[in-house]
Amino acid sequence: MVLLVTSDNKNFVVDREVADRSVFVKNTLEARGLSIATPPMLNGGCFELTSPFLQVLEYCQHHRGEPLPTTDDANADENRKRTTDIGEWDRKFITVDHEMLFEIILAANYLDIKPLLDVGCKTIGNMVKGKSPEEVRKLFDIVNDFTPEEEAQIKKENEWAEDP
Amino acid sequence: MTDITRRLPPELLLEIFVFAPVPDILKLKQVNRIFRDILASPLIQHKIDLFTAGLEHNAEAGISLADSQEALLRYRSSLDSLSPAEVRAVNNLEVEDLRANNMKIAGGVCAIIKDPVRLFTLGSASRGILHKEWAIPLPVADPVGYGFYPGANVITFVELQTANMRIAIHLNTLSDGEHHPAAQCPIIHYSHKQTAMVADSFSVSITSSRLAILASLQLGRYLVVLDWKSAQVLFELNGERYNDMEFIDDYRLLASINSTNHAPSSLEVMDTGKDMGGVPMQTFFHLSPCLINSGLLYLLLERGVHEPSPAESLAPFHQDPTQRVIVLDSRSTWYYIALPVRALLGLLENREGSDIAWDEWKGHAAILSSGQFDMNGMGIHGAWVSGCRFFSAMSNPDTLNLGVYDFSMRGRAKYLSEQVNEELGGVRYFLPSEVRVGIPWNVWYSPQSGHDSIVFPHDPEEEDGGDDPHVYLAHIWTF
Repeated sequence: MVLLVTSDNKNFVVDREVADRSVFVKNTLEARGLSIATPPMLNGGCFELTSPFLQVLEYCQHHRGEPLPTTDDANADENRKRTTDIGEWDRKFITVDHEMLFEIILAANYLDIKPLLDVGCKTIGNMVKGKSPEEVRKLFDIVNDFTPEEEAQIKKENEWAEDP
Repeated sequence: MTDITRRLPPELLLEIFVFAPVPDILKLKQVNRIFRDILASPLIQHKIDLFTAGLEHNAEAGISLADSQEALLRYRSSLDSLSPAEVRAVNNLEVEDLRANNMKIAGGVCAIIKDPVRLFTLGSASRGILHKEWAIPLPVADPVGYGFYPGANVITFVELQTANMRIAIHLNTLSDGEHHPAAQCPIIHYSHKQTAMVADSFSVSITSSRLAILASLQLGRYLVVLDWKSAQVLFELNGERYNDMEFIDDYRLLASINSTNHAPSSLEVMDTGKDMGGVPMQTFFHLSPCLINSGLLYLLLERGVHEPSPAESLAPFHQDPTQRVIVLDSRSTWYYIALPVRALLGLLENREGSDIAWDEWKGHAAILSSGQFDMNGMGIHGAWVSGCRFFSAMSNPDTLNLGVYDFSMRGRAKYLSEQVNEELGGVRYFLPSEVRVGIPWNVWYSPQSGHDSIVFPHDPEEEDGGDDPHVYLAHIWTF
């Protein structure tokens, strides 16, 4: 078992197999030669808040024991990312509000949980699919900070391939 | 609060969007400065370059990145090395060139086939104007049909051999005329089940992955959809179902099928029968082209007011992936219907044969749009769509009016036009002298807005240019 502590000082005891979904946690534990430990780096400040962490834990528990993607298998990585398909469970799991989605992506990135990061990235990728710039702005509350001239320019440069 | 550009660091945003399709990336670049800067990354630019060169599917086809890059370099240098004479060579295209089913725009590239051995590619507006006449060495002297997909840099020729009942499909790249590297089986020997395969006419449509062949046979219509990369037959509909029908007396049927996202098995091609609201039909002998494109099955029905010349019957409209249909013929009345494939199948259920009256078509609940479209007297000689733009060339006795409708503003089209008095020649910039804004939508159907509208908001006041043959000079505009 591993004790993980979030930045708001909540303790989570999880199976090693679950914790190992995070390459960050796995490497930290292995580097320190610990089997049961509180990874000190996770303790305080630098880590995630409880609510997204609970989500991440749920993901790790569901996918426990699955082989971790290896970094040297570049082609497999490419192929996996190229598709926009998301598994049924993952799709339900990631159906959260934007704020939570961002938190999950940040957490997955920090904890180095690549499959989860992919799910989050693909979800956002699917959200913007086929949307106009204005629709994307609306979707993510983005302020258009272009001057009218800049906007006209960038539009001119980029609207040539609007055929899907 | 949830502004994604404030919540996620640039490297994560790049991670997210690097796998988006290029058209999406180009739109994202227009969102704000952060997006623009992130997406200026060399990684993204390379992806856009591949897209521009029509090579973006190479990775899926198992072609290595190095090979793709080499192809990209070849493509670029071939364009850079155009001499002024070569540029001029493309300039004298006749209007028939544009009428026939031999022009397509995809991925920022426009290509025109002048005849089966000469191909023009007119290049991306974003990178300046590039065009060239290519001589494609043909595997057969006189292919029965041909189609092409400039975005994927592919041209295909289809040869029908009745002797041994096979269809040979030859795929060539546009850039060098060689067999397309992504085609694992460049020649598909496809045996048709029917013994007598004598086609009256033939049409071929190809996209990045699918190839559709629609043939009018003695026994009826025949449609096959292939995955050309794997040479697999995905869908086949032969004419047996229609054996008792006389196809050539029907309305002309134009079928467009989805090529990428939906299972081709959900497609049905059918004939409308003779009784279209009691309107007497004239005879048409030529099968119209089939077009592979997105989303919906389109039926475009022409009321026969005259027997079309072969050239006319070849390609009365173009359809672009944003599901707009443009009619090129200026002398006919057209009816159009757009409806989801599923709805069409529902309409056909429990029906002997397929005679569906016009009123029934129109009254169908699931119909997306329908209407009548009168082109009389408009003197249009070239019209096509790409992305959010619709181009047209319309004639007066003395002048040619070049017009561009810009539909990028939803519901409020912009119209720019230029009166050209002198003879057109060469590549030129479009210099609109007239700009109108806020024009109501003028496409037939927009899936995003759900609007039904008219294609041409023109008043048909302009006199037709008469019977003199219109010569249309090939142009690409940039503006």
